[in-house]
Amino acid sequence: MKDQHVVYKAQGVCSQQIVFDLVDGYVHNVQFIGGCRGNTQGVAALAEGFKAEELVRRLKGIQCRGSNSCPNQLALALEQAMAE
Amino acid sequence: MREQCSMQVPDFSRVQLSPRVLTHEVSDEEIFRQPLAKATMIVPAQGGAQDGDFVRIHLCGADREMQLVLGSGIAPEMEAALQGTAAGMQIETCGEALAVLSVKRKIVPQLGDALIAALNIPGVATADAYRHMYINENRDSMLSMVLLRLNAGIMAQLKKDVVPDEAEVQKRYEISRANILKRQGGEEGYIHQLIDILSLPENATLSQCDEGLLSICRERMVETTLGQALAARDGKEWNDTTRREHLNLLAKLHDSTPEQVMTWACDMALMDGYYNDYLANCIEAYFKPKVNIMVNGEVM
Repeated sequence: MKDQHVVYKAQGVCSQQIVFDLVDGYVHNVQFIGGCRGNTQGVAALAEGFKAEELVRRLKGIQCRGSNSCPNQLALALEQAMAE
Repeated sequence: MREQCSMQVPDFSRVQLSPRVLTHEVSDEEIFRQPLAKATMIVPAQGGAQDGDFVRIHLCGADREMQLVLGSGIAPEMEAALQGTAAGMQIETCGEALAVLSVKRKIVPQLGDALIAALNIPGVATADAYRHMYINENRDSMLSMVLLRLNAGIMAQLKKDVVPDEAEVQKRYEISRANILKRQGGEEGYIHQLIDILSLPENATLSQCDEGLLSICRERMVETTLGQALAARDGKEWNDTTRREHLNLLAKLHDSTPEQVMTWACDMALMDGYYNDYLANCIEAYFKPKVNIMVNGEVM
């Protein structure tokens, strides 16, 4: 898994982008651009220092608009980054 | 096909829209976020660990590994103790022995023409050219955002004049209620969903949930009535074609398909955001506001 600074274009949710660092499989400095301010800041704060796999396990499938949500988009962004 | 709406058109002359020329500022931080991310590197740190560095440690007592960003404030005492350390060092803090496994640093490149040239985008060799490209590619979505904000203010003024058709409100309420009951598998699921949507107390009763759903349906009917009135005022007939136009607009706004929007719309009462988008379109058509996209004080 490559160390990287990621800007992910979110799809179908209120946030437009999700920015984070993935270093040695750990997730840091998560930032949602757009979306509900308090909720996304909360998710970002709680995600700090977690292993990416663990975050994906916890966040993937969370629903808000239809079957999608900002946390779900973070999970997808992490999966994509981990695959690189 | 639905008939053209016949309700009274609100008096738009009363609505204050000031200024008609709106401004949307776009920062370089937003414009260059993607290229800067592509060129950012995370590398082993030279010298001792400092604020912003990623320090991976082994907690000897707990036999557990973790990684901290120094200065993040997650574990202030530990972060302070790790300042200046390097991979291979062992320290003791908070009564715990720690081994520093690695220290990495994020290197963010300088924004400038060289950074953009390195991206090899055909026809885009300078930072200024990249700014123009970014604005052109994102102009539609920026305008949508501005109009949505404008819409909220205008809509609040217009709504005061609208009296919804109570028979239609009741019809929508019954359809929505039946849909939710069916989807949630009965009254218990229905109550649970309404508590969630309306932020009702955990012990809310069935009748409180029904009342809440009815009020959402009334609110949505006000918006629909208003939207139809605006469409009529603009010389548009509310029919399958105009309905399709609005669906296409919503799909575009949400990077989705008209079919998906239809699925979302099946519970009209729960459509919080989507009718606002639809109304933004109507309001834009009626008021025709002008939006200037500004970057570093210049209109682009």
